[in-house]
Amino acid sequence: MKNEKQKNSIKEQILDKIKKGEFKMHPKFYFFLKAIVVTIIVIILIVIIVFLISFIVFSSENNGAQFLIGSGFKGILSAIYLLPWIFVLIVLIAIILIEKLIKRYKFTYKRPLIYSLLFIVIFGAVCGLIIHKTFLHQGVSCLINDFFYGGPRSTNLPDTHEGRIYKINENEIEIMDLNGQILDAIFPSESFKLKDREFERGDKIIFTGLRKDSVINISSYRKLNCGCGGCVLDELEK
Amino acid sequence: MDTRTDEEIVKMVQSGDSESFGVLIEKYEGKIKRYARKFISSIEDIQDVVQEIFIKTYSNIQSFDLDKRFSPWVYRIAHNEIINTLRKREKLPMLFFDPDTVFPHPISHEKTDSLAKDEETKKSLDKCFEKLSPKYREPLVLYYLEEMDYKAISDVLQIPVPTVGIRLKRGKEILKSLCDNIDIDYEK
Repeated sequence: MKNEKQKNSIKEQILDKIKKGEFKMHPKFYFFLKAIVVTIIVIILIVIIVFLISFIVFSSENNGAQFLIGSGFKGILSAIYLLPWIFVLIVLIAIILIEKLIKRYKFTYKRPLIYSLLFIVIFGAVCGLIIHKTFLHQGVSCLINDFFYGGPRSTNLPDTHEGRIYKINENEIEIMDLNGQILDAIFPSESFKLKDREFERGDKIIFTGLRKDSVINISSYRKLNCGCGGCVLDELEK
Repeated sequence: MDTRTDEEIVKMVQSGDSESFGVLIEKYEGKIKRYARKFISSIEDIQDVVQEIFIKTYSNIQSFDLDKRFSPWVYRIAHNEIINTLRKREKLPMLFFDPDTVFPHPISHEKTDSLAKDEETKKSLDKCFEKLSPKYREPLVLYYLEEMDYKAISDVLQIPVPTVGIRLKRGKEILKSLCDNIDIDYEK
């Protein structure tokens, strides 16, 4: 068998196999279908990227991560903690998959990969921000307030607290944190305009500051979106 | 002697003339074997790989765009097949992204200032290429032995044209140091 194989030239062997029908030429339609499948997969991956980027922006706005980025080094660390990493990871995997799928096409491999990577990231980010502005996530989060929209909260973060305004006093506000504990939040200066009624009872707030027992000296804060339930006090009235 | 161009022959094959595929095999068998020999040492393995390359060429020939050149296309199939074989046998690392292909580089064309230099590289390729990694060996083989231009090599390896220049430059440097070491060993 081996000798026979060596005797025959590759040309003869291959033409013989073609005649016997041992392998066939794929029809043009096969390649067309393949290209269509790749295109559909790429579109699905782009939709996933856009949706998840808009979700990451929505999530980081709602859990205070965006605010914490501007609150010093500790704030940046807290913001990193609050990012929905599982979705960031899915976005990265989707980008790599797209690159893998399109890298055999001339428009990708003729240029350094960084260009197509940047294009996907910028396109995803711009579309994600547009989607974010449509309040899609706000609406969906009201329908399904499960793991996807729950996300990490700031309960375990050092010097970062989240809660709802329970009571507004002359120079301080009382805040019920996520654990249901009432904290006295003291503002260090009048620049926070407490008297201007910036706050309403039930407002959701994230703030940074050193805590001593139940007293917190607020160094920075931001009011958060109350979510689909609104800034109601039902939970607080209990 | 067949005076038809490769692309004209491919057109015949695409329209169902499988006998014309024999002409393509005749034209490319020697070249592809020579190319495979630079990466695979066993004669039997080379025979199998070359056969597999032509089978894949025939199976996928309908996807070939007649407006393009056939040569880089068939070498691309050869490249994939050889890399797959090397991966199976030598456990070649699988890189998702090669740093050379990620960032832009200025085009560094090889200076073919003297024929003697080219001849020197060709000789070095024969003498020391075995120790050179396939990443650098491939563009050198395509450029110096198969006499392809940068654009064709870029199509075969599916990497940007400036990356071809970078790999040729680095490949030549590595090759030179490898050959120098071999010469030193001989002298000892």
